[in-house]
Amino acid sequence: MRDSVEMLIAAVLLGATASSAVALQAGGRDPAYQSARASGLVGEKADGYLGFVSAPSPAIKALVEDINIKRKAAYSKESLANGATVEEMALRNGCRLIGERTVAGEKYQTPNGTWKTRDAGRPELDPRCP
Amino acid sequence: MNKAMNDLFSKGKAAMRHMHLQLTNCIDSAIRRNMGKLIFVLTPIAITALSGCVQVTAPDKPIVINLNIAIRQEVLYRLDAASKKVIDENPEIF
Repeated sequence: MRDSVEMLIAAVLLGATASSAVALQAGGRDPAYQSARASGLVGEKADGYLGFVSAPSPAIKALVEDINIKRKAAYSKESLANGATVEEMALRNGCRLIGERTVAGEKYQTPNGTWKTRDAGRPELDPRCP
Repeated sequence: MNKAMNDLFSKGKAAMRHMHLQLTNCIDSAIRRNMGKLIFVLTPIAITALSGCVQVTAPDKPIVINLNIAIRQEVLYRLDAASKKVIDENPEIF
C-alpha cells in the first residue's frame, strides 16, 4: 500500500516535470526558434509568415526561411481542402498567430508594416481579420 | 459614257469590237488587279499616318501587384477551424 502511494507521488512528480518542460518549449518549438522569438529578432507578420525585425544572422535566416516554407506547405494543403487561396489561409492564420499565439515581449507586424512588441493589451490586427 | 459609246458606233463594227475588247481586257489587266490589292496595303498605312505615332514608355517605378485583392472576407470567416487545425497539427512551426 505504501509502495503504491510512493509510486503515485513519483508518477505525479514526473508528469509535472515533463509538462513544464513542454510548456517551456511552447508546443514543440525548436529552442533556437523560441529564443529568436523571445529576443525579438523575428516576429509574426500579418500575412501569416515569420519576418525579421532586425538583420538576421545566417543561422536565424535559414531557420526562419525553413519555417516559412513549411508554413506555406501547411497553408497550401489546408487551403486546398477548404476552397480558399493560400493567401487567404495564410492571412487567417496570421490573425490567430498574432492575436492568440504571441506572448508579451514578442514582436508582431502591424497592418501598416511596422514592428510592435506584444503587450498585455489587444494587438493591432489586420482590419480583414474575423 | 453614252456619248462615247455613240461615237464608237459611228466608227464601224470592227473598230468598235476592237475598242470593246481593249476596254474589257483592261478591266482584268495585271496593273488593275495589283492596284486593287494595293488598297489593302495602303489603307492601314494611311490610317496609321492619320492617327499619329503611338508612344509606349516603360514606367520608372517598379510594378507592384497587390496580392491583397485575392482575399475574400467571407472565406476568412469560414477558415477559423482550418486555422486551428493547421496550428494543432504543426506546433513546431508556429
